Formats: sequence, C-alpha cells, structure tokens
Amino acid sequence: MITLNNITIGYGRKILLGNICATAGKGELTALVGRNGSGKSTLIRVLAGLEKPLSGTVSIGGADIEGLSKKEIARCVSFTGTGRVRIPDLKCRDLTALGRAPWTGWTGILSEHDRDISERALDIVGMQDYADRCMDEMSDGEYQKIMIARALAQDTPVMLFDEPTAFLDVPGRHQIAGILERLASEEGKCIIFSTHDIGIALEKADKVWLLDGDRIVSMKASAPETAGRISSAFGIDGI
Amino acid sequence: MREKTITGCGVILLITLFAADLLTGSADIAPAEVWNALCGLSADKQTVLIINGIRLPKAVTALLAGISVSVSGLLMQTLFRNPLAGPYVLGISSGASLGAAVCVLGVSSGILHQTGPVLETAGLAGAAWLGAAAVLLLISAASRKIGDNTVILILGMMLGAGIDAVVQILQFLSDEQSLKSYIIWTMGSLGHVTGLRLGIMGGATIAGVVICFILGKNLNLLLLGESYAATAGTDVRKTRHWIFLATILLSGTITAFCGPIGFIGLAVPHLSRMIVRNADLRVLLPCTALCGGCIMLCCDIIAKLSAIPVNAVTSLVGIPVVVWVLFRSRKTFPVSF
Repeated sequence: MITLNNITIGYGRKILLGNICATAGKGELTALVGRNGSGKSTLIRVLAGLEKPLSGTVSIGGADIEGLSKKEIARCVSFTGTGRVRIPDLKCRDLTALGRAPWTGWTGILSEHDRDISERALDIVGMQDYADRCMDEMSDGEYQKIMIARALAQDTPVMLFDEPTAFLDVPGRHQIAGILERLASEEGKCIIFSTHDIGIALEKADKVWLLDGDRIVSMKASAPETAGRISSAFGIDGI
Repeated sequence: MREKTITGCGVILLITLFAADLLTGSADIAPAEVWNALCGLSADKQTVLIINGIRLPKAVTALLAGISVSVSGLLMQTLFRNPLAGPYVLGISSGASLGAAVCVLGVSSGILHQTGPVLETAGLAGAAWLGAAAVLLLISAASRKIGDNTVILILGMMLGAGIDAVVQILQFLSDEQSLKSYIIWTMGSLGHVTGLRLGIMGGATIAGVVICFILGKNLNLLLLGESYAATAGTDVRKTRHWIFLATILLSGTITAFCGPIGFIGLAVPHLSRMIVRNADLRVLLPCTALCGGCIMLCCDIIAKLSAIPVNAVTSLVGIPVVVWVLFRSRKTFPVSF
C-alpha cells in the first residue's frame, strides 16, 4: 500500500534516517517506535507529503507521491498530528466533516453522501453522542477519538497518526489503539502510528518499524525476537 | 436557522443604524427632510448638500470601514491562529503611518501643499496605502522563506516597531504645521472620503470580502493548523498569498483613506464569535462584516454627538471588549500547543 524506496530524511546536513526501505500493506497496523529525536515525526510528515525526503521516493498504491497533486495526496493519505488543537465553538460533527475537504467542491458544502460518511466515522469511533458538543469541552481521549473520526471521514486508504496515545492514561491508550486495530482489520486501512508505548505496539500492532540509529527495522509484532530487539535499541533490559 | 435569525436581525440593525447616522449631525434636519433630500425631492439646496454631500458619504465610509477592518482582523486571527493578531501586529498600520509621515512631514509635503486639497489628501492616502502594501509584501516574502506563522508574527511586530521609530524621527525633525496635519491623520476621520475615493474604497472592500468568501473552505481548514490544511488538500502557500492580498485591499485601503482605526479589527471578530457561537468561517464572515458595519456606524454617531475623533471612540469601544474577551475565555482561544 505505502512503500518507502531508499528514503533519506533529515534537516540540512543532519541525516536522521538514511536510505531506508519499508512497506506497510492494506489492513495492516504498523507501530513506529524509536527514541526521542529518532525521526518518527519527521518520517510521518514525509509520508504525509508535508515534507520532502532528502532523497528517495514514497509511493502509495504504486504511485509516487511526488507526481500527485495536493488534492490527490489528500485522497490517499490522512494525517493526524501530535498535540492538541483547541478551537472554540467548533462542534465535533463539524470537525469530523472537515475531513471531507478533499472530496467537496470549492465551497466545502457537504452532500448527503459526505454527511453519511462523517456520521458513520463518528459512529465507528463511538462518538455519535458527542456530535453536538464543542471540541474545547472534550477530554484528551475524546479529542483523539474525534480526530480519528475526522481522519476516517477523509476516506483514505492510508492513515497516519503521530503519537495518538500521548497524554492518555493506560485505559485511554488501549482504547485508542483498539480503535486503530479495528480500523485496520475491519475497514482494511493501512495505518501507521508512532508511539512511545512499546507494550501497546507489541500487543495491538501487526508490524513494528523500529527506528534504530539511521536505520529502520521492520518486524512482525508477534515474532518472539521483536521485544528483545526493541529493548536493545532502547538500551534497556526486558520489556 | 439560528444563523439566519442572527443575520436577519443584523441586517435590520445595520439599516437602522445607517438611518440614525444620516439623522445625526450638527445641523438639525427632520427625518422627512432627510428622506426628501435622499430621493432628490428637497428644494433646500443646503439640506441636499449636507445629506448627500456630507452625511451619506460619511455613513457609507463608516459602513465600509467597519466591514473592512473587522473582516481583515478575522482573516489575520484565522491565518495566524492568534486571537491577538490584527493589522497592527503585522505592522500594516505602521507601514501606512510611515507612508503618511513621509508624505506629510517629509519632502513631499511642500509640493503637495501647492497642488490643492484634493491632490494633497489623495497623495497622503496613496502614500499610506503604499506603505501598508510594502510591509505586507515584505512579510509575504518572508513567509515564503520561513513558513512559520509565529515567526512571521514576531517579524511583523519588529518591523512595526522599527517603522514607528523612523516615524518618530521624522516627527522630531518636522515643523509645527506638518506635525499637526500628521497627528490629525493618525486620529482617523471618516469625513474626507468622497467621490472617486469612496468608489475605490467600495471596490476594494467588495473585492476583499469576495476573496474571503471564496477562501471560506480553506480558512476553515486553516483553523486546525497548516499541517492539517495541507494534508486535506489545501495549497497553504497560495491560500496565504490570497489572504495577504485581501488584507491589503481591506485594511490597507481603509488605513490609507481614514487613518488607523484602532481595535475594531481586533474586537469585532471576538464579538461575532460570541454571537454566532459557530467556528465555521462561512458563517462567521458575514456576521463579522455585519457586526463591524454596525459598530463603526455606532462609533461614528457617538463621535458626531460628542465631537471627538472617531479613532478615540473606536478605541474606547474596542478596548473594553478585548479586555472582556481576554478575561472571559482565556482557555478557549484558538491556540495549539
């Protein structure tokens, strides 16, 4: 679904990741793990088309994203960043509907079909009852769910999330990771999310991309050696 | 439904205030006489002159100024995702002031004095407009290189402070008569916009507002920040340039023709948010325009009744609103962290 072909990313002279290759497929939940400053967020931004790699290409469904227009990329990949945005008086329903932007005309007016997709997205993340609440009244967990609904409404085969479980308590983290797991398996989405919660990565994800030095190591989350490999990359004993 | 009711009430209030503004003035003219003068039925030449030559252009100017300044304030608050952004923060007002200062205090004032009052005012206005546009072009060029809105905001403030210092030097070096003319310009006036200038102002306001409506969808996406807007298919750079153009047309033109109008651009978008309680820019824009028009007409009526400069009134009306908003909703400003 999404393929990294010999990608090098970094800032100016500083190389974060050099000549990396990896693939994430349809219906697959991939956890991106690595230490602070290892390049997780930058990699996600490159995959989203927000930043260009220093070299190499990213292809989605066989098409190089360099050759796609902004709108075409927006119909292939959705992006949810880290941190929290507070917009007073923006209802959750309207926020979710913003996800329909790549599919609506220049006025942004929603068709019946767009509305149905937004409502379904709210339903899937279990936030239908919160649709008329404003986003500045949400808890961090509720906010994450609404942002997932917004990304889901964008109706893209690839979904990227930068630290969706940050700032959440343990049950909250499991709930969010559970939703992502469901979206991958039931909706057939190709989901890549970065996280510092290695337990969640191993438990919920199908695949782990470990950023180690300037390399990326792609492993099956269920493989017995994965945990050990992550531990050694983080320089700690046992996870 | 709620939005339609609010818009309906807003339009009625706007028409009422516009009528009230026409009825207010130093000469005591009965409403029937005002109506006759507007319809061309009045026999009294002086009444026709007062209504059609002075009060009507002034009321239209107040309306246009209110709409322009408020909508440009909303644009900047949305683009910079900062509740305190406005023409002043970006240095636009300072740029306009520099243009005016160069014109009034500098070399050109001598030449302009000899060309008659119309060209003098037009020259002053044009210079102020150029100054505002120059600052925005600089900021726009910087934004192409930097791409970070917070840095651009700080840059705008620095630029504004630098320009203010230059204006101060010019003031220090100028003679008494020029200084007085300049100070009067900074107080703001709605009374010198007639004929061609009113036409230009009307055209600029309409063009600016139309651009804003076309940008509605992209402005909504920018609420979440540039990363979200870009990944939703928006060409952020292009959108930013269009916003700058609308700002030059709206804020620059008004500053040039009426002097810097304080605090309306900052306060009115907040008032509108409180009234409509909807973050959708496509709803907020018309409400802000209506609200801005109403408040500026109110300010003009107050200025006429109390015979003080309109800029003093806009500040006295605007500042308490801004302070109130700051206290009321510190937590709910559209900021991210």
